[in-house]
Amino acid sequence: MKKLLCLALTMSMLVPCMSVKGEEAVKLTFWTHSGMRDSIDPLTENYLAEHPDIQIEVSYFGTDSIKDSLKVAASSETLPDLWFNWGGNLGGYYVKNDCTYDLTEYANTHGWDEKFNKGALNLCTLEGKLSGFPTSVNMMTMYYKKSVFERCGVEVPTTFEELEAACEKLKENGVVPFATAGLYGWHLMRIVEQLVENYAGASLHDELQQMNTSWDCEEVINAFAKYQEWCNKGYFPEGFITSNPDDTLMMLAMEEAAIYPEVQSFDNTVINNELDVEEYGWFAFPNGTGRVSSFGDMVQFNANLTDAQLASADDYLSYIFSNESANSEYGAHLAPTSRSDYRFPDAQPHAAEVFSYGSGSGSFTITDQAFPTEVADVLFSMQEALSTGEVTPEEAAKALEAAVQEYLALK
Amino acid sequence: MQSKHSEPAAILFLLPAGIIYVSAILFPIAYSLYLSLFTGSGINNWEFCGMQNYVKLLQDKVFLLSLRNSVIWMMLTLVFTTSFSLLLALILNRRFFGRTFFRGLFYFPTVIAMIAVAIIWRWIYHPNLGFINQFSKAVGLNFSQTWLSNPKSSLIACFVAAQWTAVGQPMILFLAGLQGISEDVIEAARIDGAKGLKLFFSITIPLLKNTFVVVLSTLMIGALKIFDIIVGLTDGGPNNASQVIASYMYSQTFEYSHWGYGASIACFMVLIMLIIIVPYVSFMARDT
Repeated sequence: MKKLLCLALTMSMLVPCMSVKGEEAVKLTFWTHSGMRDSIDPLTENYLAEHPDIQIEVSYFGTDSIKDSLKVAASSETLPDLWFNWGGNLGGYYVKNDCTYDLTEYANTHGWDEKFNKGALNLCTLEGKLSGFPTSVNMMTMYYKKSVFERCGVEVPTTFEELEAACEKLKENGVVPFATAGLYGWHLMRIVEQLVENYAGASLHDELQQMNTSWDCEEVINAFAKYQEWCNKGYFPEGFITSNPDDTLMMLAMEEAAIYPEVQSFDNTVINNELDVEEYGWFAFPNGTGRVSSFGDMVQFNANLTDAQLASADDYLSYIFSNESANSEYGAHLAPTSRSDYRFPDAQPHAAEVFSYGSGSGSFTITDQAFPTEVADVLFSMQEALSTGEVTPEEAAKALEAAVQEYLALK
Repeated sequence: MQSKHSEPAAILFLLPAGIIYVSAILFPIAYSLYLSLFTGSGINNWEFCGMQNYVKLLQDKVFLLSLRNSVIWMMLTLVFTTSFSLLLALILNRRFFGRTFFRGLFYFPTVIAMIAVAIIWRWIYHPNLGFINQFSKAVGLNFSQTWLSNPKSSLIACFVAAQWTAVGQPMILFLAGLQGISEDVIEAARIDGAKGLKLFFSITIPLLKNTFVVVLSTLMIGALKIFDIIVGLTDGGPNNASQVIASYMYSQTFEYSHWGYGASIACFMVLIMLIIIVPYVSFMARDT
């Protein structure tokens, strides 16, 4: 009797082990942006409840920390299975170093050309390889507070001259024209790159971004000179060079500044901050070409994924970044504009307009994605040095070109 | 008398700590030294370059600027942090009502993470809404400044912010040192006619010699390693005006993936620390 009891107990302990071995769970690790946490956490929980055969461990990082953490992980061969990234040179680094799964063939056999819009797939195609699951496409325009424009008697500018006149009028009325901040460089860059587009035009700007032609040229010098002139005229907030981009929306909301460079997610940000989205309007920076700057983001897949992991990752991400999830109660921090079937929520009146405008007018790659990080950082340093008058526009253009040449030589 | 058998036993007990020390300290140092001899910005495309990274360091204007800033930071730390923490320790060593409360109050900022301190001070320095400019306006002073965006003041502004948390630790060490001084020695000096500053410089300071060794060496190491307050407040800007060695090393290594060059900056940093700190500690400790 004792022996039988022991046997029964042993068997009962072995049963769960056998079943686990029989249905081996697919495990995935996913590093993503902390801005999506409130959406991804509950949606992942829902997904896992319906997929007990999949285990997903999600970790969250801020904008700058995810870039650094991924580089450290890549160098120590400890990259997660999936990671959020931006396009251009940021995502391209992992493609060049063979860390990412080439999804070209998988996409062809799984109908991604119907699932995603063409622009999104193009932004994720780096070094000739489809290097990620497209999560969104972003179009950068200028948002403004209607009441400030009305109070100052300013019309929405349609030409560069009108924009300058508007800035002058705003300044006369005690309002800072641009709500921007220079800490980390990228927010202020949104204005500087528009000035380059304005003076260089579309084709030269593209050549400059691809580092095919010298930045030490008259058009770039003129753009830098205009930026320096705007700094001297007080068109940017006091102390903006070391102000944090996180604090810029407050300046706009408090009517201390009037124009705010942002992508179509602006509506969502305004709503999440419990502000009235109807109080704001938007316009494309009048740069003479009509183009907006754009960038894509995606989830990159580890080159070492198994077929089962790849299929599960696609299924999971297709659920998270879907029209249904974005429009569900948890979707406030998601806008999968990469999806062909994505519809902007009615509560975001400008988002669809901005996206549609950007898709039609053409776009150029946002500068910090077009440039490698070390060149982008020299641009950021020059933005700072021009604002304080430490360098002339000519010196800034030379310094930027020197950084480009140094990068190309190292490459 | 110590048994000869205790030696293998001692080695056995030291082994776990030794393994951790070798794997977490010595191996990374040796590996950094090895990495510093390579160039390349990818993951598997490194090329041996000998001492080229070190030669480049000495010609790199931003590195030289960050080195100068780190030295300035260290000098300021040695003068101001040491003096201020010693002064606080002397005050808090006296008997008065609420002494324990004030000891806690002055030590409290030390437990706050430096990056949180950076966020707090970013608002204190804010050009429009910040406490300093608003306060100066309220009292009628035309003193408004862009503290962090001005290349002339950014490093000093970061230093002032860091002091809020930096004085607590040395203050506690000085306080412990002061409490270790026997009342009898002070009393004897008083009977011999020493008082005021003479008592302080001739009796108290020499008796705090060991404490000074610990405080100054930790402050010097801390000053050369300063990183988070700079990144949080200015990110080394404007135009590298507040760049220090550690922040420059970080950007080269983790932002640009120049692993070899970043490692050479780290090795240079360790070398400077050894050059400054080892002679100081050995000189101060030779009579102890």
